[in-house]
Amino acid sequence: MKVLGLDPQHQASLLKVIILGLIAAVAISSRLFSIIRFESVIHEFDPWFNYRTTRRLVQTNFYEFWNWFDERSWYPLGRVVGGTVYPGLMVTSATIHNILHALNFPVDIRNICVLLAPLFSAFTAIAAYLLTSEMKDSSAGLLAAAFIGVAPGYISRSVAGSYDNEGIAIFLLMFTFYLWIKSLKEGSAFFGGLTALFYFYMVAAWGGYVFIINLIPLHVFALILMGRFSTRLYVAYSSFYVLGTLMSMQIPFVGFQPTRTSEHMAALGIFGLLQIIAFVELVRSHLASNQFQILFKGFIFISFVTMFSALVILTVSGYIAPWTGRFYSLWDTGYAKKYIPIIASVSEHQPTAWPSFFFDLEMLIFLFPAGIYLCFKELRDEHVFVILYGITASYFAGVMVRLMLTLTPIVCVSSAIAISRLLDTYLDINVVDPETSEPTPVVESKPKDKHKKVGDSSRSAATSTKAEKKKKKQFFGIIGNDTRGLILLNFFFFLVIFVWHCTWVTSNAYSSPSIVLASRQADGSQYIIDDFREAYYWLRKNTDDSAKVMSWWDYGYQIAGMADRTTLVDNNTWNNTHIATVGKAMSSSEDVAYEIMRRHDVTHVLIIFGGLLGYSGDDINKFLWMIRIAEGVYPDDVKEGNFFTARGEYRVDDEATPTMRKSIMYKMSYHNYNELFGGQGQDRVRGARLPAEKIKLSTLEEAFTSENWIVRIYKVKDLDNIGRNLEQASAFEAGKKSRRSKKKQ
Amino acid sequence: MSDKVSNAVQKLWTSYSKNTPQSLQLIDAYLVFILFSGVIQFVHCVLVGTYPYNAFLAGFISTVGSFVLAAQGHRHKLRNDGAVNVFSLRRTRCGTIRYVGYDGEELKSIHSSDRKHSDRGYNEIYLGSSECCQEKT
Repeated sequence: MKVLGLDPQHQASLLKVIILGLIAAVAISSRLFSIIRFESVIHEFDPWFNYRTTRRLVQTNFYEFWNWFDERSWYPLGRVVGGTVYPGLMVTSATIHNILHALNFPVDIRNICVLLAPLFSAFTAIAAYLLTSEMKDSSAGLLAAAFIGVAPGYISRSVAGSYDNEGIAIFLLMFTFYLWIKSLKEGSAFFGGLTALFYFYMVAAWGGYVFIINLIPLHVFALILMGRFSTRLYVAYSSFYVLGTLMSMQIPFVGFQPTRTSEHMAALGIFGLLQIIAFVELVRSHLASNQFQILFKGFIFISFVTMFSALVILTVSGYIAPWTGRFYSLWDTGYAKKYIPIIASVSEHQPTAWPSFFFDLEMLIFLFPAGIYLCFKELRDEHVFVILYGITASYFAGVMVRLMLTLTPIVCVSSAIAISRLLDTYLDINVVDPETSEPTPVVESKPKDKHKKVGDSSRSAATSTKAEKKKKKQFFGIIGNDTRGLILLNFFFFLVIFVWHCTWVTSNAYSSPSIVLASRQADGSQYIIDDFREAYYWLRKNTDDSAKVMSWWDYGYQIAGMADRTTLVDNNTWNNTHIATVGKAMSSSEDVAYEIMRRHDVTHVLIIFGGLLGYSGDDINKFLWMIRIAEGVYPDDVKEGNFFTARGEYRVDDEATPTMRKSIMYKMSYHNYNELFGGQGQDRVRGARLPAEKIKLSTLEEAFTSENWIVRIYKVKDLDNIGRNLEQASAFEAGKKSRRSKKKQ
Repeated sequence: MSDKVSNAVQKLWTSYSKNTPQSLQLIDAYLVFILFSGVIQFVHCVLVGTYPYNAFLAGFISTVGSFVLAAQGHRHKLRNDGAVNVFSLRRTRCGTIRYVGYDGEELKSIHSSDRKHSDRGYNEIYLGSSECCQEKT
C-alpha cells in the first residue's frame, strides 16, 4: 500500500524521522517550565560560573579564555581558570553564539546559555535512539528516545537555565557509547577514531569521562574473558584508546593524568593485554599444535601478572597517583565524612534514598531488570556492554544521588528493549493459525516468523527444511485479538501515566530556578521571593569595584556572576584551608574574626538567613558544616563540641552556648531581629524564640538586608581613628548615646 | 625443553615466511622497527628522566599508534578470518555479510547491493544469528 507515493520501507523511514522530531520537540518543551513561569535566567550556583566564563570567552577571544587567571575569586590566591575548568560547555555555547551572530541573529549569550541544555537533550534523545537501534531494532530505539526525552532523572540536570556540564555531557556519553558499539560491531578503525573524537569532546565537557574510560575497558575485558576476542575488538579498542588518550591530554585540566593516575590505568592495562593476546593469536594461527597453546596461555598469564604487579608497584611507590578523593569515596563511602568534610557536606553526594529511584524513573526502574534479562538471552557483544553499564551504573546511583544521572540513560535503553519486545509480540497480527496452516514457501514465512519471538516458536518455522514439520510441532503464540487488546491497552495506560508523572515531576520538583523562590500567600496568589538578586544587585551598585566579599562558599559563584565583586571562596572548593579560614572567621568571636577579615582585606560579609520566611537552606543550618571544616584545619581554635548544649543539642535560643552566641554568624543572623518583632524574635526555621538581650556588633555594621531578610550584608568597619579596640570604641559610643539621652530629659 | 622451544621457533619462522605475502612481511618489518624505536624511547626516558614529558609522550604514543594502526594489516590472518564466534559479522568490501560458525565454516552469506543497511538488514542479522544459533541446538 502506497502512502504519499512511498513504498512501505520509505514510509517507515519517514515515520521514524517524524517521530524523532516530535520526541525532540517534547524533550525541549518539557524543560521550559521555569522560563515560562519566571524568566530566562541562569539557575542555581555552578551554572553562574560557567556563564561568567562563557561571557568572558564571547567578549574577549579564545586565548584570553584559555589562559585566564581570575584574580577576582579566591582572593588573595586567585584561580587559574584556564587550567581548572572543563572548557567543552563554554566553547560549545560560544561557537553557537558566533555562528548565530555571523548569520545576523543577534541572540544574547544569556539566552544561548539558558537554552543550551534543552537543545542538547533533543540530541540525547536521538543518540539514545541510535544506541538502542544497535541493541535491538529501531522500534526499541524510538521508545528509548521517548523515555530519555522525558525521564526526570535526566531533566533534573538539563532544564532550561541549568547551564551545567551535565547538559551536554549526557549527550556525549550516549553518542560515544553508540560509536563504540558501532566500531565494535563493524571492526572499523574509522568508527574507532570517531569514538575517540567524541570521547575527546566528552573529556572537554565533564569530569565524568572517567566513567567512559573505565567502562569501555571493562567491556573489552569481559569479552576477552568470555572468549570473544576477535580482530574487530582489537581494531576498535586500539584505535579508540591511542587516539582518545592522545586527544584527552590536550585539555589542560586533564593534563598528564591519563598516564599518571589510577583512574586511567585500567584502560592502559587492557590495551597492553589486548596487544599480547593479538600477538599470541597471530602466532597460534601459524602453529596449529596443542602443546603451544599451553605454553602461550602461560605466556599471556605471566605477562599479565607482570604488568599488573608493575602497575601496583608504581602506584604504591607513588609514581602513579592513587584514586583521588572524589572517586575513592564512591568505593569507601565512609571515607569522605572522616577525611574530606567538604565532599561529605554537599547534599548531592549523599546516598540515594529508595523513593528517589521511583521519583526519577517511575515504571522504568522495574522494567530495567527485564531488559537486562533480555540482553542476557541474546548476549551479543553489545548486550554485554549494556549489562555491564547497567550493573556499574546501578551501584554508583545507589552510592550518590548525583549519579542517578548516569543511571538514567541505561535504564531508558533496557526498559525500551523490554517494552519493545512485549509490543512486538502483542502487536503482531500476522500470526499463522495453527489448525489451518500449510507449509508456505520459505520466503514468505520468513518475514512473519521474524516477529514471532515468543517461546522460540521461530525455531520451528525458521528453515525451509523444517517447514513441513511445522504442523507437527507445538505452536506458541498469541491467538485472538482480545488478548492483544487487553495487554496493549494496559501498556498504553502505563506509558501515558509515565509521561504524566514525568511532566508533573518536572513541573513541581525540577523547574525551580533556586535564585528566585515562589510561594503562595494566604489568598492563593503567587508571591515571588527575589531577595537574592535584590541583594546581589545592591552589592553591584552600592559598593566599590574593589570590594571584597566574604561569604560561605555556596554563594561565591553567584556573587561573582551577578554582583561582579571579588570573593574569598567559591563553589570550586579547591583550597580547603582557605575555606576553613572563612569557616573559622564565621564561627569565632568578633576579635578573632576581625583579625582574619582585616588580613584578607574583606570589606563586606554576606550571609543568608531564613528565619523570617522559614527558608531552611540558610547559613545557620549550614553552620555545623562550617564548624566541622574549620575544625579540620584549626582544631585548637574551633571545637564543634562548644556549639552544642550540655545535652548535645544544637540550639539558638536561651540555651545556646556562649561560643555560639559570640560567633559572628549568630550575631549577624539575628542582629536587629528582636526589634523587628518588638520583643523576642521567632526563628521560623529552628522553631525557637530568641533570647531577649540585644545583639551588639562592634566590628561590623549592617549595610543591607533584603526584603524578606534572606540576604544580609554587613560592612566591615575600618580601623579606629584613634587606634582603640573597636569593641571599646563602640562601647564608648553607646555610653555617650545614653548620657546624651539622659541630658535631654 | 629448550630444544622444544627452539624447534617451535624454527617451525614458526618457516610457517611465517611461507604463508605471509611479501607486502605483509614488509609491514611486519616496519612494525618491528617501530617496536624497537618505542622501546628505545622508553628506556631513554627511564634512564634520563621525564623532564620534557610532552616530548616523551608525543614520541612514545606516536610509535604505539603507528604500531597499532599498521598491525591491523594482519586482520585477515587471525583465526576464522576475523570472526571467532557465530555472533560476529564481517562486512567485506562489496557489502557482503558472512555468518561464520565456531570453526570458521561459512554458514550463510547475504549479498546486499547497498552498503547502508536499513533496519530490515539489521533484523536479518538478528534473525541470522538466532537462526544459526537455533541450528546448532
